[in-house]
Amino acid sequence: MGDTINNPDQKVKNIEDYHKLSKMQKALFLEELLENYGEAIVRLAYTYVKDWGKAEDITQEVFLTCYLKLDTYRGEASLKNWIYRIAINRCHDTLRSWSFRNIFVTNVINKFMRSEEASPEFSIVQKEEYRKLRQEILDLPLKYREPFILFYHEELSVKEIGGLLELKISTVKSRLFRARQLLEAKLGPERG
Amino acid sequence: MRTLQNEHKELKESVKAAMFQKERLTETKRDRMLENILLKSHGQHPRKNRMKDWLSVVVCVALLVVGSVSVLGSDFHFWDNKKGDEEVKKPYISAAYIKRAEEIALREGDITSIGYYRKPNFLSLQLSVRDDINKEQMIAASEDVLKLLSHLFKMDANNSNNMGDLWNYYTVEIEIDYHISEKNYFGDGNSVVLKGYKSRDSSVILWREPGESEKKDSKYSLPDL
Repeated sequence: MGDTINNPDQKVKNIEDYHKLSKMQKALFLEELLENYGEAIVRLAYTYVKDWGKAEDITQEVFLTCYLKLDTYRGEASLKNWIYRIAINRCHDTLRSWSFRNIFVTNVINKFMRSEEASPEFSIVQKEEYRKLRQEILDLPLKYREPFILFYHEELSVKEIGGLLELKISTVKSRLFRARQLLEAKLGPERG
Repeated sequence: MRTLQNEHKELKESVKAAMFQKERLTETKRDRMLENILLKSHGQHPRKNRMKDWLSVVVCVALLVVGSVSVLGSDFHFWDNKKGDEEVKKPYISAAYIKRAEEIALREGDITSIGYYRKPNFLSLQLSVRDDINKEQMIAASEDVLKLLSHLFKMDANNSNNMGDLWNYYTVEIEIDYHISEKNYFGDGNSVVLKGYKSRDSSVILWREPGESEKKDSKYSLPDL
């Protein structure tokens, strides 16, 4: 277990191994997964739901699914892509759910009524330019935001994104182009 | 003058810098999450048992119904087996098969990458090719990929004009573009140089360049994706 601890992909190459793990070993493996991918998944989820609390809930559900379903991982995609696939599906389900839409609308109204104040995170950054870029990225329509984040932030290839989102590669490429066009229109050509 | 590569790199860096500045999933949160997951996963076992109970009840009722019908000599047919058989026979093109085909095609040299997109009875293949090959060579390389996939399913063609019997089950669309680095893509999304389409009931691939009107050939109409 120990020598592969920093490379979870390596560790589950032979899926039969997972069945053989004791409860304790499975828990340790889950801990490794959380350590390696937890932050990336919570950030990815945030780009969908735009709420840190909800993003953390989604992350917990994603890793619960991983823990329970790891024996179904067939190794066709990398473990990272497998986890991302689960996370993206979970985010889509959340966005579709009635309760989320309701919470989201309430949050928007509350934010509006509170006379928007800069969040602590923003005060740390203190870079108006980045704040604008971030906001515009988060305001992109989901179909453009999704491939944009996966490509520019998560550094996945267009092929991997096509596989994750079940889209043709040409569709991924044109959505990336359209996302850039939209950002350029909002932020000015010098930033796009 | 800024090159496309530089622009691409700058945008990537800006996005990374702009999106997230501090760690959200701190060690404390991670530990709490781990604890919650383990607690929840233990809570799932009783549900599994309940599922087993329900499954037993359903199986018993099904056996009772089937048994009663047999005893009464009924000639009812509950389902039509023909459709089911057809479904079972249809080969499933999994990611593993595409990956295997890609490994083999890459060795031949003209193809540099194979992407795919699948729907029931429909497969879209996105082939990237070396930038020094002409359209005839692209077509030949594409047909080789189709034959290769058929071969992997042990469904080789009965005659040399055919791409293999696998394509009697799937309508296939092929998009070909020149090889570009997928991690540094900065194009406008219109990089496809040749498109091919073969329906299940046809034995030939219809080819056209993206600029050509689809109306020229009424047979060439892509399904709405």
